[in-house]
Amino acid sequence: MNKVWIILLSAIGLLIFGVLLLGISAVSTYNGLVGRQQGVNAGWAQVLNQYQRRSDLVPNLVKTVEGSASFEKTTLETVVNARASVGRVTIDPSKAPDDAATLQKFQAAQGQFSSALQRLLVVSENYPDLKASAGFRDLQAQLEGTENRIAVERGRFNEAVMTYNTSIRTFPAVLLAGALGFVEKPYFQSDAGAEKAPAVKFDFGGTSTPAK
Amino acid sequence: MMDHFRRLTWSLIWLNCGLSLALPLRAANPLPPSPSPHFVRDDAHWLSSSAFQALDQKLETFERDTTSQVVVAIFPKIPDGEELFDFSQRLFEAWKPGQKSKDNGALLLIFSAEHQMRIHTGLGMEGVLPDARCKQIISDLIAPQLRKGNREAAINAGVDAMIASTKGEYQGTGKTHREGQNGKSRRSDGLAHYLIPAIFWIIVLLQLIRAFRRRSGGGFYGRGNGGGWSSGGGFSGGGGDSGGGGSSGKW
Repeated sequence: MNKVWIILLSAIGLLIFGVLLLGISAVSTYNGLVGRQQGVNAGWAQVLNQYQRRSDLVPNLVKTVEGSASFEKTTLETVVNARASVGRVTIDPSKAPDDAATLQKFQAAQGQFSSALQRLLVVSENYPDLKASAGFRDLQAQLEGTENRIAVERGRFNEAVMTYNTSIRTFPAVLLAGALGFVEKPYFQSDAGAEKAPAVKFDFGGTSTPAK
Repeated sequence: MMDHFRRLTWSLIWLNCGLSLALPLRAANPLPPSPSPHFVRDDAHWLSSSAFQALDQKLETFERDTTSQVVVAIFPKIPDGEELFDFSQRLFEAWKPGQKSKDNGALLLIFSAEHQMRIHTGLGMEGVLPDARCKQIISDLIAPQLRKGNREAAINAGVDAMIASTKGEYQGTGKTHREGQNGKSRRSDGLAHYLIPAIFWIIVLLQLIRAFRRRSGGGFYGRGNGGGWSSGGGFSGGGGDSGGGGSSGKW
């Protein structure tokens, strides 16, 4: 009788202990995932910030370029239109997209905007008065800097996504992640051509020879 | 018992070694090391030793006055397989000029063979040294001097302009980051990455000391705090971060 009780009690004790241990590990796994997911979302917000910063430069750019007599209207219009179509892609700024298609659509629009801006800067080489103006040079520096910042933030976003994706695929998180609604996040694709180049090609210096 | 204890200690040490070796896995090409304890790195041998010292001194004083860290590096060329901006960004992330949480650091980088340069700003410098201002410093102050062949004057003009632009933004402590580190145990970023192995080491060390003392019965203390570096100031990256600000140019 006594023995049975002891065995029963210790079995119950062990069970409680086990459940407690599991619970604790589940909670800490969950907290870890939440932390990394927030890292991804913070990175996403930073990326959007920089893209927004670039869009914000356009009104000033238009004003400066229009000041230069006889600047090609079509090039300028392409920039303005590309910026408008970027604005039409609705995307949640507080949460990184879950599906690759959404991110791709966003990236494609931004890519078009990038190449429109790039073309404008190339065309501007033919307008010495524009090139010589301090206002335009400042804008060029700002555009170049913004492209660089976008590249940096996209790189950091991808790193955050990689950490997060790896963590939901490893044990023990892999057992919980799906049930708790943690899904793999898509990356920015670096080889989309137009998206990759600007950081280098914007690199105009004091002379007109393009950077290497 | 003693044997067990020692074996355990050693396995902890090895485990710890493995952990700390496994941590920095991210590097692509190796980067040139930070010029610490100097603020200037002159691989291209542009500066005379007196100019080097004067510039180093100027930048150290600047840090004392403002806590901001400006580092100058002159390279013979852009390393093979590197691209100007990407290289600068990685250099910034490695050298970490500027104080942690203020991010008030900046790099002035010169690449002699390509005739290219870049001012790379930390996040906390973007307000006082916006990209357009960096561009102005490069093309109006540095490039003209370089075209004339006045290398020392060019660098000094650039640094002076950077200092002038940033003055007033941050309040100095009269000390450099490196001096602040002396005596204190070295604080570092990435708490989890470094603190945990450090605690590990301390525990291991304490256990070793205890084992040692128990065996020899002698005292272990009273020898002063080992061979820590002694220095009067100098550069040591404060942990600043950059989001890729600044501007590049040619001469």
